[in-house]
Order: sequence, then structure tokens, then C-alpha cells
Amino acid sequence: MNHVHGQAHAPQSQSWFQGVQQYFSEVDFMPHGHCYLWKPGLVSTHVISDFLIGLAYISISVTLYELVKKTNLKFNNVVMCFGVFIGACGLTHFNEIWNLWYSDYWYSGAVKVLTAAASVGTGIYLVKLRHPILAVAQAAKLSEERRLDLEALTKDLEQRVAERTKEIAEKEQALRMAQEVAQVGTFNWHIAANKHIWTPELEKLYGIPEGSFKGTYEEWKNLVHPDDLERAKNAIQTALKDGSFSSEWRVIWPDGTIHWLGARGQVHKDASGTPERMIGINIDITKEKEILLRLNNAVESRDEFLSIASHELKTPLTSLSLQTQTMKRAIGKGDPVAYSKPRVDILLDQNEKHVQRLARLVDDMLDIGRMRTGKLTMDKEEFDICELVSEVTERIRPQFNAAHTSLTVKHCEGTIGRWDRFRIEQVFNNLLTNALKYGNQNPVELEIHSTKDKIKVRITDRGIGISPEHQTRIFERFERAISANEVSGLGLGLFIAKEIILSHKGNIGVESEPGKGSTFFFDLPIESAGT
Amino acid sequence: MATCKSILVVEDDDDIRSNLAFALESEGYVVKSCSNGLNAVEYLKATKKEEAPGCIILDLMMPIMNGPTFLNVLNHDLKEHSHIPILVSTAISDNDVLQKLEANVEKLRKPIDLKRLLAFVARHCGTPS
Repeated sequence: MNHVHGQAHAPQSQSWFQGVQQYFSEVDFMPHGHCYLWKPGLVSTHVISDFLIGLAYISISVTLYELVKKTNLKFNNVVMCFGVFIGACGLTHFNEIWNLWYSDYWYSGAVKVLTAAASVGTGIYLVKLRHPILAVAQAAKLSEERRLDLEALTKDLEQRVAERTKEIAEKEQALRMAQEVAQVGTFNWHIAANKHIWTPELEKLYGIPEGSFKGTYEEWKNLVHPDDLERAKNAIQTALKDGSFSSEWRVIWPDGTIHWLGARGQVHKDASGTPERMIGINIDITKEKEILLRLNNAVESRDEFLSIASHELKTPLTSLSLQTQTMKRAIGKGDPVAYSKPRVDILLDQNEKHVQRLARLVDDMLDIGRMRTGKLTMDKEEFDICELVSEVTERIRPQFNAAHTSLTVKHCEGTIGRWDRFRIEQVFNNLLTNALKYGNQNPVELEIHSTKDKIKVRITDRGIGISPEHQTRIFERFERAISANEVSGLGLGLFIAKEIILSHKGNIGVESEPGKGSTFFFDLPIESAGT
Repeated sequence: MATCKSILVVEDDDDIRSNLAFALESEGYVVKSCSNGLNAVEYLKATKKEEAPGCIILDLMMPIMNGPTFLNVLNHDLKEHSHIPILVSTAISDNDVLQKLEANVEKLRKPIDLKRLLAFVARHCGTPS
């Protein structure tokens, strides 16, 4: 710091102008350099450090000025004061350097007075501002704390939203997957606006591409099978009145396939009771419908079978009953013809035949039961197929003769194999009876050929024939190619024949042309005793 | 005295047909037999009105031409014979089929009650001596 020099006087008598002149004169004083005995080291130490300090002060001051200019902070005034004070301090250090060579101490003193004033002013100002600055600092601290709290809160909220969004997305996905798996489509019909909102699954059920349904009632109408539209529309009308919707209809997919849909829904009404929306689901019920159809067909077949069976059973019963009643009546009248041996013989023969016919019918019906439960067993023995054929043809020939139909065994080579004799006889009987029944009295031919490991049988008639669409069906249970009204019989003959041949690991089939006749053929593997 | 020239039996089952014929012949009636509806139509077409049977015993389930079809042909194409009384004998238990038949047709379930059959014949043809 500046030291006081004893030589400094200020002559009272001099004028103000002289005073000022003196003020800047170096005459009376010795520059500071002399005090340092102009030792270069000492002088340069002072010069360098004062210069740096002064420069630093000035730069701080300039920086503060810039800050105040660019920002509009509180307490700018005190900062400005501080700036002036620092700037003044800087100036005193430059004066120190100047004073090393020039003894302008009055000037240096004046600058110091200015610096002192600025520093005292700043100090007082700062003390006065102590409370407001503290308040501002506290407010800033509080606001920072709040900001941090808010930030944490926001972060937490964001996380919760993200979690919830994920949860909803997962639930939606699960719902959609469930709908996909269950093939459930959901609709939401805004009635007044005529706007249908469909899930993608529902579009799938109608066979249309995802997102292609525009949501109008007319569009839906065009997708529904025309035969079912009226029923579906009626169900909707009922639902608008009663509240609950239930119906089913077919839809025709763009690829032409037909699918059954089942629909359930609920109508939501507004406060005045006007239907506002209908929400519901559609499911694919094609499979169920097919099962129902098959079931109905089965029930129908069974009913038809029962009616045919009762007819077939009643036919021999009717004959037996007529004979008994006629005999009784004749005896009652004392008619001697009733007792005559020829009459009684005829009667007994006929009775025997009817009883056999009844027994055969009952057997057939039991066989069907066994086949259904897989309990038809083959009792195999070794025999010659040609022997069996001649037995069967001899036994059935009277029926052919009565119907004026010829039966020829065209070819048979003696072949011995292991089969169920009774069942194979049944097959021949059934096929020959059919040939007689449907043969229009034209000749019937039977052929048997044998190869190394199987025999092949063909039975040919020249009767009404079977159209191609019936050729598979006739081998099913209770089926026949023509209506039951036309021809008597249980409709079981071919089914039983097929089951017997299949049980022997053989094949059975038919070649036929309507109006020209049919050839039923089957083959049987030849099993010898050793195999 | 029997007032009919004959009685026509239309029945596909040979045994039932012959048994019916025998039962009626035992009573003294003349019996004509046909094995299906078409045979009966052909027989009636070839028969003059004064030679026509006094009544017909008709089975329903028959091959080639069944009973209902025969009745239809009789009423539409054989008008000179359509007045002949008919007794339908059937094993069909389906009431729908029976109800569709014309009202003037009498019905008799199989197995046939001979007394009722003879009563029907006697009503339309009298009793032979």
C-alpha cells in the first residue's frame, strides 16, 4: 500500500489553480522507485504484480458490467456498485505503477478516495440488502426443492402411465387372442348413427379382409345368405323391442363357401327408453350345424328304419294271421276243405316260411346292432366256395322261378378257403335277392374266378340300375337307392354284406348304369388252414 | 247273392296276396290279383265298366307303382272306374301318409282283421250264397 511521505506540503496561500497545478506536479515529491533504490528486481516485482492485479480488477469489473447488461436480475444495482468498486481498486494498482516513476500522489490519493467511497457505499448497500438477498436465496432454494419434487412426481406418474398402458395393451392382446381362439367376433352397433364397429375377428368370420368393413347395415345385409336375411332382420327387430338379441344365419364368403354364424347381443337404451346401441358377439357354428344335420339325418334314418322294420315284420305276420283267421272261419263253418290234407300241407309249409322270414329279419336287426358295437365276429372254417354257391342258388331258385327270372352260375372253379360259411352265404343271399328285386325279371348271372390268393365274385342283373350318386350310399345302413315305398326290405342287405366282406379283409363294390343294370362284385382273400 | 263280378286284390307280397285270395274265395267271391299298382291300372284299363271289380283291396307299399300313385291314376285317368270302393290295407303306421289319402277310401291296418275285411266286401258286394 502507499506509504506517507514527510516532504509533502500544501501551501495555503497559493490559488486554487496553482493548487490544481501542484496537484499534478512531481516537483515536491520523490517517485516510489527511489524508495526501492531502483533495484530492478524489486521494481519489476511491483510493476508486474500491480499490473496483473489491476488487470484482474478491471476485467472483473467489465465482466460484471456485461452480466448486468445482459441479464435482468434483482440486485443489479449492488452488482454495479461492486463493479465500480472493483474497477476503482484496479485503477489504484495502475497508479502504483505510475507512481514508481512519477510522484502524482495527489492524483493517486484522489483515486483512492473515490475507491474508498465506492467500497464504503457498496458495503453499506450490501448490509442493507442482506435480508432481501437472504429471502431471495431461500425462495430460490425452496423453488429448487419444489422443482425436484415435481420432477420426481412427473417421473413417477410417467412410469405409472407406462405400466398401465402396458397392462391395457396386454389385456387387449389377451382378449383378442381369446376371441381369435374362440373364433368370437364382437360388434358394437350405434343405432341412431347406423354405425357398426366390428373387431377384426368378426371380419374374419364373414371371410372379409381385416379393416375392409365400412360399418353400415347395408354392407352387413349383403354378406348374409339371402335365405336367412329375413330371419336375422326379424331377430333384430325383436331385440330392439325386448332388449336381447339371439339369432343365427349363414354367410357367403367371397370364396363362395358357406358358414353358419350364431349371434347373441344386448340392446342398451337411453334414459327415454330409445334403443341407443346393440353390443354383442358372433361365433362360427358351422361345425355344430353340421353335427346337428348329421344327427337329424341319423334320427330320420332310424325313424325310416323303424317304419320299414315294422312293415317288414308285419308282412309275414299278416300272412300268418290271415291263414289262422281263414282256417278258424272255415272250421267254424264246418267246411271240410279246411281239414283236407293238401290244404293243411300248404298251410304248414307257408307257416314255416313265414316263421323263417321273421327269424331272418330279427337276425338282420341283431346283426346291425352287433356291427354297430363292433361285436360281429367271424367263425371261420375251411370249405369250397363253389359248393356253397350251388347250395345257395338251389335254395333261392324257387323265388327266381316264381318271379320268372333266370339265374345262371356262369363259371365256378372249386376253390377251398377259410371263411365264415354262414356269413358268406348271407352275402350271396343278399346280393341275389337284390338282383331279383331290382332285376326287372331279366336274367341274373353269377361268376366266380379265383386267382392265386383271392376269389372274385360278380353278380350281374339287367334291371333298373343305380345312378352314380347313389352307388356309395347304398352300402350305408338303412339306405337304398330308391324310395322305401317302392320296394320292400329293411335296406340293410348291402350294409350287412359290406360289413361281412370287410371283416374278411375283402372288398365290395358296384358297377352300374341306370336303366341297364348293375354288377355287384366282391373279392375274398383265400386263407388256407396253415395261414 | 254276390252282386259283384269280382274283387280286385292289389298286393306285392305273394303270400299275403294268395292268402287274401284264398280267404275271399273260401267265402265264395271271385278274386282277381295284381302284384303292383301298374298291373292293376293295366287290368282296369282292359276291363269294361260292367265287368269291373265291385271293390278293391289295395296295399300301399309296392314296387313299380305304389298305392297312393295308383289311387291318383284311378281318380284322374280311369274315371269310369274311379267310383269303385277301395279298402287300403297297410303296414304303414305313419298317420301323415294315411291322412293324405282320399276321404272315400277305407283303411285297414296290417295284420288284417279278416272279419272287418269281409264286412267291407259284404257291404259293397253282398254275401255269396
